[in-house]
Amino acid sequence: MRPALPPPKRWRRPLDGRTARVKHLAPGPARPGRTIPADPWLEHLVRQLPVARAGEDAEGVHQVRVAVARLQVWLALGQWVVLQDDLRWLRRHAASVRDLDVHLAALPPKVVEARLRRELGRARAELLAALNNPRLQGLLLALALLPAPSRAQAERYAARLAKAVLRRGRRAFERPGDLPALHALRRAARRLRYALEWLGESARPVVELQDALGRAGDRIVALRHVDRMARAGHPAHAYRRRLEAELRHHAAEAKRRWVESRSDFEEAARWKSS
Amino acid sequence: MEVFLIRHAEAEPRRPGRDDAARPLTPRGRKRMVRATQGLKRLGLGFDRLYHSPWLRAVETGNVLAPLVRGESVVTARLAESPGLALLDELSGARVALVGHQPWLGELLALLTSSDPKLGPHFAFGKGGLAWLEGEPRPGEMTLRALWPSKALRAVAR
Repeated sequence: MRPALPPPKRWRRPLDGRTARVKHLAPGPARPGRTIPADPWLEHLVRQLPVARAGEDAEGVHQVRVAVARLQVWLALGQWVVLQDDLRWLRRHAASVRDLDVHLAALPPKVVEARLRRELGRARAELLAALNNPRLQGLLLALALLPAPSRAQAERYAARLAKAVLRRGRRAFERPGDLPALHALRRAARRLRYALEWLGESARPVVELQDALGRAGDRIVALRHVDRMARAGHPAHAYRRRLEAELRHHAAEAKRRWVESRSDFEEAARWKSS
Repeated sequence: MEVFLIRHAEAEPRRPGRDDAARPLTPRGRKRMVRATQGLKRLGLGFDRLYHSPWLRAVETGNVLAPLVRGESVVTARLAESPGLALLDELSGARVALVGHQPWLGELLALLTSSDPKLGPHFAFGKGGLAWLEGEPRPGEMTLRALWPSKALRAVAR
């Protein structure tokens, strides 16, 4: 896990499938230093909030969610307990919108799409209320004032996260079909990836695992939407079967990535943790 | 509802050119707050929710108090200004802690107990001190159960 990080993504595929030059450039890899300031992702969050508020470009909400997830890890690097709930609150609202955007981009059947669009309208209204809530202003100010964690502190935390990925990976792949365990692994992998990126270390193996888990996770979320519809008397059996088949495929792919990269996680777990 | 107003612990002094909101706790202030938190724990006090100001010294104080919080912590800029009904409307939970600053905490205490925030300066609210109120969180609807200086809470921890 030591070679340099891959170059930052300068191109992204927007939800409508077209490739376009992005206005959402995410911060590049951190430069090694004795402390780890939050600035790059805090500034990114502040830049993306108006885009998310306008609601014309789905990428804005995605970038808010990504920035918030990275800041949650940054807080944990500095052992901050407070402000985590505030970030979780903001992320929950962004995630509701983003999950529906992703599901809609996967071209569900018309009947499913119509319901998802109604849910999206509600989720957007709730996100907008959160973005206009004074809690957000307090959160941004508080984050801007926090001191940067030391690198040594952050390295110890990253080693703990690598151990968590190993533990959760074993649990997730011991029993195929254990969706909560797969989801827990996805979250642990994401935290490890962000911690390594804050440290300016290569996160390539964990990114590859996280991508595979992400594709499986998208199907899990879509299945939840479909189940909710079925409970409301609108089952979509054929679509459900398609999603289940895709989930099996992506879970198998995630397992393959996991087996390939387990030694990298073992190395990271030993990394400066003594 | 039970409301605990807690003033932040001792912070570094104001300095020209430094934002007042960015003043951190001193090592002594942090140590004392840890002891006071142990005292609160020994008294069996915990909170459903913790509200704190976004200023650094209040965030740091809130972080020390975090082990006593069973539910969510919420940052609110309304604790870094003169208290009003908007702040009271935000509160939810049976037992909540509010970490903030003087003179606003004193004004809030006066508002809740007498409806008159101008009486705030009459309350001796030292750094790391705590006021324990009970009643409806509306102007004049709360009763002051205790006003403890940090020193008293630290003494309980021994």
